[in-house]
Amino acid sequence: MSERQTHTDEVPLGDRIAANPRPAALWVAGVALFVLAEFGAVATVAVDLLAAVAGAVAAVAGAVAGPGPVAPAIGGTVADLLASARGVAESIPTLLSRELVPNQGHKVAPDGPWAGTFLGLPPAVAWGLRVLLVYAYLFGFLYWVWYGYRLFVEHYRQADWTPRDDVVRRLRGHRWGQFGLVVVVLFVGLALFAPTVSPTTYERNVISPYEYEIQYLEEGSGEVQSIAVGDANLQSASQGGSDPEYNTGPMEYDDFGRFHPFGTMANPGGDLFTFMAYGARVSLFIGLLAIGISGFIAATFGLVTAYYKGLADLSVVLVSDSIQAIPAILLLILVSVIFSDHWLATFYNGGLLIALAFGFIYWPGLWRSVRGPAFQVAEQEWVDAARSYGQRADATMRKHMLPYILGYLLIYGSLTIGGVIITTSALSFLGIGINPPTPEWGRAVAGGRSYVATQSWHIALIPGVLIVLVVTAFNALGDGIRDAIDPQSEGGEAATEAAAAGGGG
Amino acid sequence: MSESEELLRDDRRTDDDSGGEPLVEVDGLKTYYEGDGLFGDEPVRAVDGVDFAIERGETLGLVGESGCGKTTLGRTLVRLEQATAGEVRFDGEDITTLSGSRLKRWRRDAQIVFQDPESSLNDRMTVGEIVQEPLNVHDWPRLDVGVEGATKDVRVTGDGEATDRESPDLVVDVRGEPSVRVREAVPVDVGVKKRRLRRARVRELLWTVGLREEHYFRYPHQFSGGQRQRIGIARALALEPKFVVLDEPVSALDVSVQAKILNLLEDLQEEFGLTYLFIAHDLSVVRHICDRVAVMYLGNVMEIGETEELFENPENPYTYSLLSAIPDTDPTAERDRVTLRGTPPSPRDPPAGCPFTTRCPVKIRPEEYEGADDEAWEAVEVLREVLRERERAEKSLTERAREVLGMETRFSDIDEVRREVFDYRLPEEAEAAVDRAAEAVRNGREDRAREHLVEALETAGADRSDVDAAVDRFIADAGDGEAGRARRRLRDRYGGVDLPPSMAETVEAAVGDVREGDEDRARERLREEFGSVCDAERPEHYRVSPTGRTSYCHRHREEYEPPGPVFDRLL
Ligand code: SF4
Repeated sequence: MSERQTHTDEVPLGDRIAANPRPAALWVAGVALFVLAEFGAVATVAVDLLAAVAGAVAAVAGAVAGPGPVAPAIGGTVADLLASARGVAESIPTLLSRELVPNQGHKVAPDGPWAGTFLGLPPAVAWGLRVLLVYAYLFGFLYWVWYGYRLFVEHYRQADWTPRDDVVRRLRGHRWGQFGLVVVVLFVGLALFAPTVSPTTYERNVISPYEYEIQYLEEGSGEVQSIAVGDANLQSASQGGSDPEYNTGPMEYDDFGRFHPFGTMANPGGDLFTFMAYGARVSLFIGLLAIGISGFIAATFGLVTAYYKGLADLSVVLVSDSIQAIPAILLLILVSVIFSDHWLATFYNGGLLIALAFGFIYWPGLWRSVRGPAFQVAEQEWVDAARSYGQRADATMRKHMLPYILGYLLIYGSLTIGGVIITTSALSFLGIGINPPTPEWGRAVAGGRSYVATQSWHIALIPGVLIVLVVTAFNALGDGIRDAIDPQSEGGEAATEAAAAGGGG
Repeated sequence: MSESEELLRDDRRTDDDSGGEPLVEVDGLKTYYEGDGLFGDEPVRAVDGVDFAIERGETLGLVGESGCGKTTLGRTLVRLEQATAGEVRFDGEDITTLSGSRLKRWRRDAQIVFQDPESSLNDRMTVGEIVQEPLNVHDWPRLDVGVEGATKDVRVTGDGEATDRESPDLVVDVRGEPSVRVREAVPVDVGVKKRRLRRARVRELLWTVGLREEHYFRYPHQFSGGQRQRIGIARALALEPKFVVLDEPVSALDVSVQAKILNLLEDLQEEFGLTYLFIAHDLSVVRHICDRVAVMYLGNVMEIGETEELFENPENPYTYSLLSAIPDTDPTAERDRVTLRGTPPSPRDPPAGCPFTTRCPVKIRPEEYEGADDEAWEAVEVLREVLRERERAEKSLTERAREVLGMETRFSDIDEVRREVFDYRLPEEAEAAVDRAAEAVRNGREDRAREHLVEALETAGADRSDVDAAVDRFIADAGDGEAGRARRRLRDRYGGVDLPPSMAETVEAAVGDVREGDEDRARERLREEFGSVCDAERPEHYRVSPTGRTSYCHRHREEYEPPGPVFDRLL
């Protein structure tokens, strides 16, 4: 026995890091730098989240208890507190902010330098620089996370191989999936950093354009003048036809020295890129929430039905069949009409409501796609083994079954999220679901569809192309994940090759 | 936990007390599966009334063809399946009705090693995690305290709990100077966390089953089948069970690896005093490792007894057939084979009498057919089997519709079956005439041959219109020296079944019933005429040797001839 006393016991990660702190310290320092650069933004987001939660609580409390004298008083105090916290958070300088690299300004003379922009650069260049910075930051951060994983594998992991390694290896060779990943990251970046990457803010651009003024160089008089944003938007709106006076296309300046990467929208005008960036937020919020809800329900039901089978399975089949029998669009229309005055519909101008409805509609589909794999795992003898030594049912499902269906959830989740985004757009196109002023891509398509044949083609075309691109990217990502976790797809290719070779020889 | 004070007496059962009674007693055990559908299908009678006992420390083999219910029986013994009826007494306690914490507690004593090492280990967990999981589930070690050598009541105070288990983690010996012993598997510094104790225990287990320490952090993918099976064994042993069901533990492994795993299992049995139920279909492995063997067929134990004796001198007709199917290792030994016809009947609808009745080569015959020709008897049995099969075969909806509409169904091919099963023969005078015709052909007298043939066919009642063609055919074949084939053609075409008249009558009547679409009446008719006690009554387990071997067969009754001599005659 004595010769076996020398074994190395499993050491906690903390001890392993303490034994060799250099790589970990280096990595953490890197993360700290990334966070520091954006600390103000992170704090602001945290405060906003808190405010949203507080708002939701207040709304629910109000809905439950009815209007009373106490709730508003407390709500008021909380709101004040949050507002001041937000002020503090906003005052912390961040690297990626509009203030650091401003792109809004005006020329001093017809071909003179620009005033108000970053280093006096033209607005287009300043804006481009800011976007570049944002994405450099985002991809840099993602790379750092990946680098951290590599460090962990190299220095701290005790197992010299895990099944995950194969998944990572296969994903690294999957170009189509990587294309999807890059586009998805671009999309998520657009949503996440919408206020920063937009040439102007949504508040100025759409919500209350008449409360802000801009200065511009009047061409004729050569003088700098002021105008309300609303008026400027109106005059620079894209209105079709063929007269360049009435159109501001992609990558053009309008008459007020403002740069529009995607051009302007139809009456009452406004910057299309800003609209798209904020719209991405809405789409992402709805997509993620809907997939989160339906994925959770699907996974739970998938595990329970596969473990218990019989009656449990049958009842879920019945319920899901009934849900799938209802046409989704019809149900969505119904929901948005019935709940139009409900407090639920006040969040995000109906966005939350739509997300909940999607979650409810899409879980049967997701459940059906994980049901097969779940039943397959439930047949494995290791599940029987767990039962034979008395493991609890929920622990068995979590430890011995869930890891095998998570991958499928990820695949079908990323395929479905495309569907959610496109359906949301379709709903807004029809004028239901998400109400103005909350931006939604589908509404941009709807607003621009009468100008497709004119010089203002960009209003409908750019959002349309973006929708297609994002949905394709999510599908590509799903394909990549599937090929990575399901090596059979590799075998499939090999088999086809073998068959081809056999046919040839 | 410090509340847990308990009064303990030294009344733990010692090995001497329990030595007499078996560890596992199975009594009238039935395990049925309900059909998949919700709509009252007949249940599958996987285990259909089984009694036996497993002595402490022994290895009981369980053999049988696949689908005979042996795996279900093993799984029922470790409560992976719920028994439909009957009892399984473990240490005297019926475990089929345990639930909740008592069931969980009992699970430590009975474990299972699975057949397929690919499927029995979760690929997403490391070997260490896999072997450790049972320990986590049962919160091992309980640091339970046992008391030894006390003549009066002893009070145990402190964390941990008192126990009456046979192998506590800590033992207080109060004889003379009181002392405390710690179990061997727990390293001496008991002060450390349970997690570390468990990890140490896992290492110990890995070492015990012949794996190395560095395998702890590996994943099952990185191991060969034999090594994976070792991991499965380590997991089964983690909680120190008394009883282990080995469900074909080596059948998925290479032959070279099989021997190593079998040796390991034997060593472990010796080291830890384990009791095994060894399920297998490889009879040579069973013979090598088992003390006693139970032979299963269609949910019933047909024969059970000491291994060597049973292999050397099988008593039950099914065991006999099963053993004679093993290819002999000694090629010079002339051993006659019994080949079983057909497949076992469906366990949804087993025979009413002896389970083996549909295939038994030495089935008891009614007295009047005792001396009947074996081949003829066999043919009748085959016909009955075919009709039985048809009863079981699902009819499709269209077939049912056609039946109702009186159209032909696939069941109208009874004539083909008849031709397949039976030999045919022309009436005696016709046969004689054919003999003469063949003679004539040999002599080159075609005209004479033709006359004889026409005469023969007329006696056989052939239709005039196609006689000429048949005659031409015969003469051509016989002229080529194929007289045998020529004759067979005639018999098949114009003859009747070649059976003794008393049998032929019933068979033809039954065939007639089927032609009319009444298969039930055909079956009934055949059973009445040819059925025996084997079809009608369940046998009993007769004691067939001084060592206590039992066999499930009517032939052990006084009034019938025992199976052995009948087999000898048959071969
Ligand atoms: S009772 Fe005996 S002889 Fe009769 S069928 Fe069964 S095994 Fe054969």
